Amino acid sequence: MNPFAAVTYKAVPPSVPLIDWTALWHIVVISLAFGSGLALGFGLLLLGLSRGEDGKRGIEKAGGFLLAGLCGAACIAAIGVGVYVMCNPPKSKPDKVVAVTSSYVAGIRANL
Amino acid sequence: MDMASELILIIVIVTAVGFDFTNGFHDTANAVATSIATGALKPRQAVVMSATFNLIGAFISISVAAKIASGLISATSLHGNSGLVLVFAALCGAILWNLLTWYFTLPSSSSHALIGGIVGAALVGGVTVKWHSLFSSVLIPAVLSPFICMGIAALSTFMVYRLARSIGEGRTKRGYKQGQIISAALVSLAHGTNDAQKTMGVITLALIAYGETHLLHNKVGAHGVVVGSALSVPIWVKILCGGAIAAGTATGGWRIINTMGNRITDVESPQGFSAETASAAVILASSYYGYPLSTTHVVSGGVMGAGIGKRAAVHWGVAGQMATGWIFTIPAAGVVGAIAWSVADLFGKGSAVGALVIAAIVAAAAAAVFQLAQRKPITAAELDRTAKPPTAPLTPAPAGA
Repeated sequence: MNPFAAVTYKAVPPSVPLIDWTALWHIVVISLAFGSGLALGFGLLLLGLSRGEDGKRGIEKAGGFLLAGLCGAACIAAIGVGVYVMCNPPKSKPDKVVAVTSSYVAGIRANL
Repeated sequence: MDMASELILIIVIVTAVGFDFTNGFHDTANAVATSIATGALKPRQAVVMSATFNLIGAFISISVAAKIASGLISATSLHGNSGLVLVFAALCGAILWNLLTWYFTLPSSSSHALIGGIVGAALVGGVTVKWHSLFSSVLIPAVLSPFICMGIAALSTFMVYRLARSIGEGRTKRGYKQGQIISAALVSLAHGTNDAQKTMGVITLALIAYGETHLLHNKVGAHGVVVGSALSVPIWVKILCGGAIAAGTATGGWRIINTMGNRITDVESPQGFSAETASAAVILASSYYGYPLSTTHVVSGGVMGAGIGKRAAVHWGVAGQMATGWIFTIPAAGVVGAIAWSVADLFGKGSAVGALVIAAIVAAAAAAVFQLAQRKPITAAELDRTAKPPTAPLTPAPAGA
């Protein structure tokens, strides 16, 4: 008996591209902005702290601490956005999940 | 429901929890390997922190539950005991591949192992495989994501080291060590939200197949219109899966942590921070656009990128071994899944005896792999870089690599 006899292969829909270039482009840009931005922001925070601690003049110290404060706030905001996205994924994604899950469960119910 | 169904359900739940546990200790390295390698955290502290954030991640979202299983095969063909056995065979393929790659110290994707197991069991079980979905949602992102993360991590590392000239080496390393604690927590949280969900979905679907149909309820959209159905994951399933992945993480997959943190390139704290933030950004951006990625592939790409960005030596031989493992993950787990389903089927369609026999074989194989690993163990103490200056990699890359 051929074990693959019952296997059917779903045809690839011609209208659906294999790669969604628009989404890919967006992913690259967003990842670049957040990934490199966070590393750079944290680096500037350290630079600001360093200037603030080692500065000879008052204005230099204040400028350093101001830079550190702004970069620290930006880093916290970026992390906050990341956590928010984790907790609240876009609405379209769960809907897709619900759709496929529904078809699965419908199959189960039909066969119970 | 008869006793056979009950027995198969219990076997599926136990196997799913076992898979979640291997998923935890296999993927601990993704979040904490660089933090341990740079001495930002002690190994035990790192895995406990990672386990905690994995556990939190398992509870904050259930949107990805069942996504993998139902998106890749024609799920309507799954029903009753034979459907449960198919899911069980898929889990067996994933567990065995996870254990083998752990033994050979190779970071590989637990998600891809599960996908491979599902596809393999589905092929021999006569269930339609959605090839287009497999290519567009799994294979192409799997190929592209390490390169994207590598590029971003390389750029970040380059910029960070340019800035470090104005800050001073000591301050930079100390600062980024503290930053690494946050970035490692972020990657752990992302891992928990993604990986614990898969097992929750598998168990919930098994419960529905068993007859717990109240777990399915109508989803009401705008104006009170029923727009579909949604799954309710029982709280005990969430606790079980979250606990299993956290327990696996806390066990510490020291073998893979060593590869990821020490064998790809010699990592310093600015590189570790860059690799982790780049990885977290790529994983989250991809999840937002509906592409669930392998955290292993992304983080590995990030670590390589961090090496390139500092113009440090990247051990491409080790990277090549890892890439080979990635290529074989889906086919190998698929073959095991297919064999498991075929052997179970010899005892009759949806037979509890077949499932029991396979469970015994998998348990024996897992015990053998653990036993073999004890001959050349890698311990947390060997990886601790907090108490002493960095030494040569524990397992150096082959000469010329």
